[in-house]
Amino acid sequence: MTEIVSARDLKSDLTLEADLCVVGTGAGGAMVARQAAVAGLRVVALEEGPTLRTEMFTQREDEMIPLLFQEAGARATIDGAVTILQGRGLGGSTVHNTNLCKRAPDDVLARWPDGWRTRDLLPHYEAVERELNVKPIETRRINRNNALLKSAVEKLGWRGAVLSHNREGCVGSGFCELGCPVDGKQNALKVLLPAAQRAGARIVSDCRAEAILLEGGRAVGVRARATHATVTVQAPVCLAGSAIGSALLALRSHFPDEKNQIGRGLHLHPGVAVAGLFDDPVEGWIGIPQSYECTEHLSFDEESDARVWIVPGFAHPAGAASLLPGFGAAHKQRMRDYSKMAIFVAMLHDQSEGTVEASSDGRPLIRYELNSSDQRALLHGMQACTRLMFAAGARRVLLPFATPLELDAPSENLQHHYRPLDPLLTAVHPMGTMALGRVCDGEARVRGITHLWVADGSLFPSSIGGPPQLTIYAAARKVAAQIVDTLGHR
Amino acid sequence: MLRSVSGYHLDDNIAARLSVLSPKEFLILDAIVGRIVAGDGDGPKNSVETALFVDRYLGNLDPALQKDLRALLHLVEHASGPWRFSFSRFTHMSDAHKDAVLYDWQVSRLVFRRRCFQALRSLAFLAYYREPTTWIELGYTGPVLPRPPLGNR
Ligand SMILES: Cc1cc2nc3c(=O)[nH]c(=O)nc-3n(C[C@H](O)[C@H](O)[C@H](O)COP(=O)(O)OP(=O)(O)OC[C@H]3O[C@@H](n4cnc5c(N)ncnc54)[C@H](O)[C@@H]3O)c2cc1C
Ligand code: SF4
Repeated sequence: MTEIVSARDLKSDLTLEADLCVVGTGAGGAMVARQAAVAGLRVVALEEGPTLRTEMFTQREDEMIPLLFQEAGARATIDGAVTILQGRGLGGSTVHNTNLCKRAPDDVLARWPDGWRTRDLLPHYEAVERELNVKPIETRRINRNNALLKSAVEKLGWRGAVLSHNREGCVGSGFCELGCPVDGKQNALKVLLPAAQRAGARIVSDCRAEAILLEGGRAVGVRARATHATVTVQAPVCLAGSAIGSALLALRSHFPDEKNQIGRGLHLHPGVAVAGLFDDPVEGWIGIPQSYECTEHLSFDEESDARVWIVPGFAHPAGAASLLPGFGAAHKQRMRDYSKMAIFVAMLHDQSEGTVEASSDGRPLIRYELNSSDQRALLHGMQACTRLMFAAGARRVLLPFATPLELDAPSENLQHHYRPLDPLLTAVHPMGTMALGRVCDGEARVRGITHLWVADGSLFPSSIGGPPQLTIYAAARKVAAQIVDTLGHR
Repeated sequence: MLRSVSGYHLDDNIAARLSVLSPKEFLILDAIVGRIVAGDGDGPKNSVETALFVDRYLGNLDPALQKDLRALLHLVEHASGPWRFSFSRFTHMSDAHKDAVLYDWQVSRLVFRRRCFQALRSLAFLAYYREPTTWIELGYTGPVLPRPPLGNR
């Protein structure tokens, strides 16, 4: 059995030979690394972030945010309108996600290229669900924040359901977004990377891929940077650095791209958090953070303005403070209601498409503006959240416009408050940028380059309007099969 | 002892604890953070500790992020006055004036200002609400599980 090694202390340059180099160890990368290694390929997986272990998850925001998140949680679109949270470390964003598992809807996949429809992904979905132990969340584990959404949905007669998750041994600490302190997540870090390692994969953390090496239209390896040394891996390549990381690396590697498609088609599912104040304690930080969804306003009809997925979304004190608008005394006053506050998030099934570009200092420049149809849909979502809050019994509802809006009854006139960069949005589901049919062919190979595949959220040709990890795991499993077919079993 | 750098006076004991920022940058940061986390009365009692945490926190970040934030502090200090048709430095303004300037940054139509304000706001809240002493007021009971021992991390 090989080790997971950190390249942090590597003092001299290193060259490794392999059958496949996987860049990134999140949902997509860990799945490909495991599948390829089990099929007998000699795999090297590179991860720019650190090796993470359960004991490191201290349940403290100030310690976990810089450890687990890209750009210490400060990644955002260049206009600052959307904060984008993404993982950085072994296991990628699966380490701090909230474990919701849902297949992409048939209506969405029906518009994806041939070979990626529901029937094509089905065996992969089933395998992933088995392996990651995906099951419905038991109703007794629904916490008060989620129960309020459920009661409001039932009262209004709207569509809603209990969600499924990939947890085992969860004690309900409520710290999912900062890493699980009891190893209760059946994710890339816990399930897939150890299996890849057992099958012989060499996994190298603290090692950032800086360029894909091309020779005569063929990917022949990766040049990566550790703190004091350069690591070169000579092998065919699978990109799995996420929708932002993979596009960034592709751009920095100057792939042939006559039509400038790389980095385009970015979808984010931007979400807006609506807070409701209740008379009794909600204590949303206790228990499984998200267990119920409202899908009443989630239409997959492209013409519809009802395109939001509504879920509860609680945060610990610093995170909640950032979600609430304003600053100073008024903000502090709002924070005093923290324990009696419920938060519902409307996540947009976005049609707007952003772009990723490479800046000179190696960071991504992310441009993303909501088109007018998405602006309407977002407002529709805020209105729906407001109605849900009042139906659940909220005394007051707080909308996070830069000049905060407090309501004591539902309002249909939010458009007066809306400006393009307002309210502040948070995104946790970047997708697109190396999309199937656009940058990649139907086998997930980058067009015009052989021996180069993509297997992460960047493959998505559209938003999916719900949690993407299951579809990323499933798509990566399918890509891994294609890689093994091409490179051959050993 | 006070350390004086062209009109910026910082206690030596505090200056000795800085990891990333210069005394001048620290004073600007303290002025901003103090207003972001200010309560009903004056500033919070521990705004210096809050700002010191931000300085330490920056020490663990990528140098490019550190550079951005330092540049931003100088910008708030020197480019906030003209915005409000007054030429005083941010650190020399009254609390009310500082709040008005920060509000302008918050709702600015200039993309860059809004983004900068958000970055400062998030850092200030992270530094402030990390302290278990602030949790009592929120009714937050803290982590359910004990913190893993330091040696295990
Ligand atoms: C707070 C939060 C909650 C979420 N909750 C859910 C949920 O409940 N359900 C759900 O389905 N989804 C959820 N998600 C989203 C989900 O986790 C992601 O969509 C998924 O993990 C993305 O998989 P990926 O393989 O595309 O990228 P990631 O999992 O982000 O992995 C990419 C990895 O590549 C590494 N990398 C990038 N560039 C390089 C490079 N140049 N060299 C080496 N390594 C590199 C990164 O450091 C990272 O570790 C959540 C996300 C967040 C942030
Ligand atoms: S709620 Fe469960 S899965 Fe999430 S961090 Fe706590 S114990 Fe782990």
